[in-house]
Amino acid sequence: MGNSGQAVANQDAGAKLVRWVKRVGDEALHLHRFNIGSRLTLCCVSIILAMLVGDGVLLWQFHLARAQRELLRGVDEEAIAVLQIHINVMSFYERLDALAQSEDTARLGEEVDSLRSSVLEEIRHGRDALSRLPPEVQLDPALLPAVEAIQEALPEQLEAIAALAKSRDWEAVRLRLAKEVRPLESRTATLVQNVDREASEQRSQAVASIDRVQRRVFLIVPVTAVLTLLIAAFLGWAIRRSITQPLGQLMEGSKALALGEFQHRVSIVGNDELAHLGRAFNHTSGRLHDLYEALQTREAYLAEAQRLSHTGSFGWNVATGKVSWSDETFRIFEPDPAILTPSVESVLRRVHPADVDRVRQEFGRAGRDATGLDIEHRLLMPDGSVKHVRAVAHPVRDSMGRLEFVGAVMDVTASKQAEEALRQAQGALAHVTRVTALGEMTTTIAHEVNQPLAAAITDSNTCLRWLARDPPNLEEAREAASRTVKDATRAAEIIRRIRFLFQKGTEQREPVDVNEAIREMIVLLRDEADRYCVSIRTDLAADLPQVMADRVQLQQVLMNLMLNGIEAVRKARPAGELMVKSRCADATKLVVSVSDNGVGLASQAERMFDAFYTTKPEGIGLGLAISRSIIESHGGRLWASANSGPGATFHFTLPTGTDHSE
Amino acid sequence: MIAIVDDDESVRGALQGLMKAVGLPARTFASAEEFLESGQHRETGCLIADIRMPGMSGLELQATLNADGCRIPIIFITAHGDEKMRMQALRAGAVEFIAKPFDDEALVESVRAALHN
Repeated sequence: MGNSGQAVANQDAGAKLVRWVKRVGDEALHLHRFNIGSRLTLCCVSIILAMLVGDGVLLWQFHLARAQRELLRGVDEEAIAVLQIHINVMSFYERLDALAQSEDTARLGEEVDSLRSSVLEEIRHGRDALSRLPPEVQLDPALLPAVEAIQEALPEQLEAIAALAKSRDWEAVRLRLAKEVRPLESRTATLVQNVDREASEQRSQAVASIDRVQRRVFLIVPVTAVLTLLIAAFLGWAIRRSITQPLGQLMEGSKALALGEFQHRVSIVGNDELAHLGRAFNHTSGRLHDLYEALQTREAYLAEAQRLSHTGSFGWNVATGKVSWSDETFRIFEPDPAILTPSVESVLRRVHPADVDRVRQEFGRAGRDATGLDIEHRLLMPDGSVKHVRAVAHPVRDSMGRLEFVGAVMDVTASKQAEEALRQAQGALAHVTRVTALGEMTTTIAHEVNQPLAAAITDSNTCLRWLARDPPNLEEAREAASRTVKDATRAAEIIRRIRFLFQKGTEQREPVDVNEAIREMIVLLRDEADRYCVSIRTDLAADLPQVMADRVQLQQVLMNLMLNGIEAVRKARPAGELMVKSRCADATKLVVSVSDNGVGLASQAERMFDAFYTTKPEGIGLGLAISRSIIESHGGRLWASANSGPGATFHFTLPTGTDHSE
Repeated sequence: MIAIVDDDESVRGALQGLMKAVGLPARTFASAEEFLESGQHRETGCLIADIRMPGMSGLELQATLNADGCRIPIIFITAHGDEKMRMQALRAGAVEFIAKPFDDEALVESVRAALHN
């Protein structure tokens, strides 16, 4: 229990330490504020500084050791100098003592000068050596005065002794030597002893000091190394952390970008190169996100526009045979669900069998000549329905220079149907307009003609009234009769004007395909024919030349003849039938005939072309007259003939040459 | 006196000739406006009028006269009158509504009847 508790406490302490280090690394140092270069420089400078401090401390210790060595050398020199003075003084005494023993005055006199100069020389040397000692050496303050005193005393003693020797008082010489010179010798011996004692003291001190220096050096070197290592490790860790963290984020961001997560952002700390990189990354991914959204929006609009306009797009690489479709193209072609990648074959599989060869040729031609493609064809869908499509494409070169077609395929079924419906509606409208126009025209003509006719009838009756009087009033009768003539003339004039209208009207002559005009009229009159269960059949010559004609007038004639025919056969049994034929009569004219199996012609067949001749209760008898006027104004002829079976046939000819006479 | 209002000269002439033949004096007017402006509608015993005329129509003339409180018997003669128009005319007090071309005997009988009333 206790152990585990302690372990936990240790772990806690460890974690706390790690946290503290992290906090210091992240916050206290604020490494992110500095550029990575500055950071690395800081690290290097710190390590170098730590090493320099260590080396400085070491150098200082070495300096201490050297000072001790200098001190020892000085002490040694001092001791030697003092020792030399002592030996000098001793040899001086011994020489004088030897001379005193020999009592040789002459020799003493000879040697006094050399002795004096040599002893003074030696002592001066000793003094010089002592004065040249390094400042670290602390001289005994009594040493130099003592040496000076000896230096001064020796020549005096020598002079005194020399004087005594001259007087041959050897006893006094020997006494003086013992009492005066000998103490000098023992004094120098004392100096030597003192200096030696001091030197040994200082030596032991120096040794102790050098020992200390040695110990310090042994401590400083590893401590410096460890401290430097610690600083280097900490800074390295902090800097690595301040670099690898943002780098890791950038790497994660790059992976997210690669996966298409354009909303990914990296967090930005500080103001270093990586922060700049992070900002640039965020900016880039933001732009990419905007672009991607705009692209998606545009794609959605495009898809919607394609759906609304029933227009799909496609690409076709001729070299690789690769075909790509938009969604709408898939909807148009409705390929087998199993087919995931479309091909030219999957297009051809849908093409209406009647159009396959044409489509194949057109695609082959476009692929061969590298020219644009514009083709309308049908598709036969699996449910049997038929679609009309228009494919438009133009050639481009892909990045490798291979031929590729980019195009659009439009489902024009609806517009085809609308076109058809419009054509039918236009046809019906034209029918109504023409019938109404004709009806209005005939009503107007009827009114115009009716007035003089009514007047003529009244005038004739008035004339008869005057003649029936007893006696007849011939004058009044003549007047009424002349009014009758005037009225009738006026009626005839109106008819002439109508016929003139069709001859010199504002008709517009243009090349007209008579067969087409016939087919159009059949479409127009289909309702009318169906209403009375009349079937209309055609037998139209294929090689019919075009004629110069007023299309509307020509169709009025056709409508008139066909309406007459329907009128004639609508009560026929078993079934009414109308046959419209066209053929070339000869090189100069064509003939159109409308046959019915109806009631046939009245006895006076030619009269029905006269104006106002009619056998129909609701007719006014102008149709055939106007029709004949129109055909004759075109340089043709209109006539009727009885069929061998039931019914009648109306024929008209039209010149095919352009130079027909009017 | 009988007034004849018709834009067609032939019809005017024929009607005046017929009236003369049966001994009825008649005056002709080329339009309804001309008739109204002549101020003779007060002395008119019977009015024979066309329905469709340029300017004021026969039915409008009838309405104007009715509005003036001028009760002239009117006989309409028209080339293209339908049943609706006929009913409208008769409801507004017309004596007769005759289609062109007309039976002269029937017209004369109608005029005589109108004058007697």
